[in-house]
Amino acid sequence: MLNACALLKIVPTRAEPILAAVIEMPSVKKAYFCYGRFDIVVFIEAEDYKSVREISKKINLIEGVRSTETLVEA
Amino acid sequence: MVSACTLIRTERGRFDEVASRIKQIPEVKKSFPVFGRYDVVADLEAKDHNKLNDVVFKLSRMGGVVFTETLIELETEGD
Repeated sequence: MLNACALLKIVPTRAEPILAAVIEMPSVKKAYFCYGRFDIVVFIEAEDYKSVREISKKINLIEGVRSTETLVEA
Repeated sequence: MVSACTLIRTERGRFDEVASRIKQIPEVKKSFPVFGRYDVVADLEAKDHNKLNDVVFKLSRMGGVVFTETLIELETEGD
């Protein structure tokens, strides 16, 4: 299992639907709004780097997500 | 219960050591070395903010840790 952490910056008015969409994704283990430089923290457990990339891409496609910084397990 | 994500930069080459030493703290639910702008990510869960502050303080003073940035969960009324 490969761990990853995605840090999202989002459009505030879209906050609730974005978090709901992210939490539904099977490989997302934990996601919550947060204080600080980012708006949402997402913890991901995936098979391999390819699937982490897929998930990161899917998250980026959610309407209202401005940017994603994905930190993948080394 | 308050969650937080701590992003850690370590001294060169010490990310594995720091990642494993961090795991000994009970509030650290998961920690793993990462690629990217940080070296280690820690998933924290503490019973309240005070306890969380203690843990983050302990993390930031650990050997090999150079910089930490903690993103604290924004609690909604529902929690």
